[in-house]
Parts: sequence; structure tokens; C-alpha cells
Amino acid sequence: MSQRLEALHAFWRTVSRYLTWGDYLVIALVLGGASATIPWLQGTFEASGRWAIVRLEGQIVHKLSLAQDQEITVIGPAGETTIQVQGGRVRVLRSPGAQEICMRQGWIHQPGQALICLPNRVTIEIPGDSGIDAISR
Amino acid sequence: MTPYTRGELPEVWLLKRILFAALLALGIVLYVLEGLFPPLLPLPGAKLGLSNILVLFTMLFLGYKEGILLALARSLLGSFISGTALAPGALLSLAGGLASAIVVALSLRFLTPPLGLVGVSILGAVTHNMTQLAVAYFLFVQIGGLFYYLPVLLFFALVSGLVTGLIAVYLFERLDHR
Repeated sequence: MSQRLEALHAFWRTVSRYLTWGDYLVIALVLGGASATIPWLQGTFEASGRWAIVRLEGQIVHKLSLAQDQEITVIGPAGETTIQVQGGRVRVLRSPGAQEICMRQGWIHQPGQALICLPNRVTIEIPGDSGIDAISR
Repeated sequence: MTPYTRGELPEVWLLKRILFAALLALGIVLYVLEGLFPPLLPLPGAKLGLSNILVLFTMLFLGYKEGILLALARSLLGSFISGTALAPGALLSLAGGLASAIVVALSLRFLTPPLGLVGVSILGAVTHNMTQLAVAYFLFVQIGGLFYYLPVLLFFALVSGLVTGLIAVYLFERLDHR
């Protein structure tokens, strides 16, 4: 164990010989920049870039920002469907239909997810693709 | 028949060309080889950029312009050889390589007394990743969510710049002893 520690120490001595104070400054700046941007980015892009698109019989009737808590009602052929947005997520509160499938789906929040209330012809979709398009090498 | 030698002896001129060609060949090999390895982490951007050691070397021994040219040619020819040419990824790599080479040249010229090679290398790696992110944003996907990746890319740039910089210093120290 102490041998391993000694080897680590020797390695560090070698490495630190190669570093100037300017290098340490650059390292600190980059580390600081990386950690400083984490909360800022989360706050800015978490919900604001996401929308829920509400369609009635295929036509877009509402575009809801997930950043804003709200409740809307869509009137379809079978009755009223109430949609709730809260904390960056969206769900169907009430909708006509015997099986209540879209209500039982609960909250959705990720791009690519969708809620479908078939009896009332209402669909709620969060557009976007969470996958990776290309990897740069 | 004597080539234009810019005031150098023809022998020196020729040696410099040969050295440049050899360095470029090495750079392409490193670039392609690195692309063949499975990524250490399943994330884009997590790459060491070993061929940047050769860019540093070229700038120190042959000149800044030659180093920038090497970075450009390495990305272009390397992507043709590895079969990723003209794909979005290759364009990102080209833009990143060029911007990074320019920043490395500038910081070698103006910042090297306070900075060492490691610091220069980290600056180059950060520029490389940031340029890729910016190009990806403006050319391909204009969604803010892309910038989620900024802290991750910064961190990877730090690690890869540190590692390549340390290798470079170690290497050049050995060369000095000869």
C-alpha cells in the first residue's frame, strides 16, 4: 500500500515538474467554467425548450410551454379533455372514454413521449428526438 | 531548377519539407487509429486527440503556419481515410481542428512565458470542443438543448488537453537531451 502511494507521489512529482503556474490557472479556469455553467444551463434549458403539442383530430390546437404551469381544456367529439402542465411535465386530468388510458399514462416529460385520448381524438406530444444524430471523431 | 528556398540552404529547405511530410503522415495515422478504438465513454467529445501532439511539435520545430496547415491536412486526409469524410462529423472535426490550431499558435506565440505546453494544450482542446459545439449548433441542430453538453465538453477538453500536454512535454524533454 505504501509502495503504491510512493509510486503515486513520484508520478505526481514528475507531472508537477511539467506544470507552470499558468497551467494551473488554465486548469482552474476551465474547471470553474465547467462547474459554473452546469446550474445555469439546467435552469435555462430544462423546460423552456420543450413544448407539448396538443392536436384535435390531427390539427394542432394548442402549443403548451412546459416551463409554465397551466391547465387547458379541449372540446372534442366525445366531450372535454383537460390537460395539466406542472413542473415541466404534462398529463391528462380528465377525458371521456371508458378505459381512461390517457389518464392512466400519468405524467410525460421527455421528447418523443405522447399521450393519446382516442375516444376524444386528442393527442398530446412532446416533439423532439432524444437520440444522437452523429458522433464526431 | 533550384526550388524557392526563402533564404534557406536548399538542404535545410528539403529537410523541413521531409520532416513536415513525416509529421503529417504520423498525425494522420494517430488520427485514424484513435477513431478505430471504441470510445472510452459512450459520449461524443470524449477523445484524447493524440495527433495534436504533432501539431504542437510542428509549431515548435517548423513554424506556426506549418502547424496550422498540418492540423487542417490531418483532419481532411484523416477523415478521407477513415471513411467519415463529408459526413457532419468530419466537418465538425475540421472546424474544431483549425480553430484549435490557430488558438494554440497564438498562445504559443504570446502566452508561453506564463503558460507551459500543458496549458497551451488545454486551451487548444477547449477551443476544439467549443468550436465543434458552435458549428453543430449553427449548421445542424438549432436547439438550445445542445448546450446542455457544454460542461461535459469542457471537462473532457480539460482531461484530454492535460493528457496530451503532459505527453508532449515528456516527449520534447527527451528530444532536448539528444
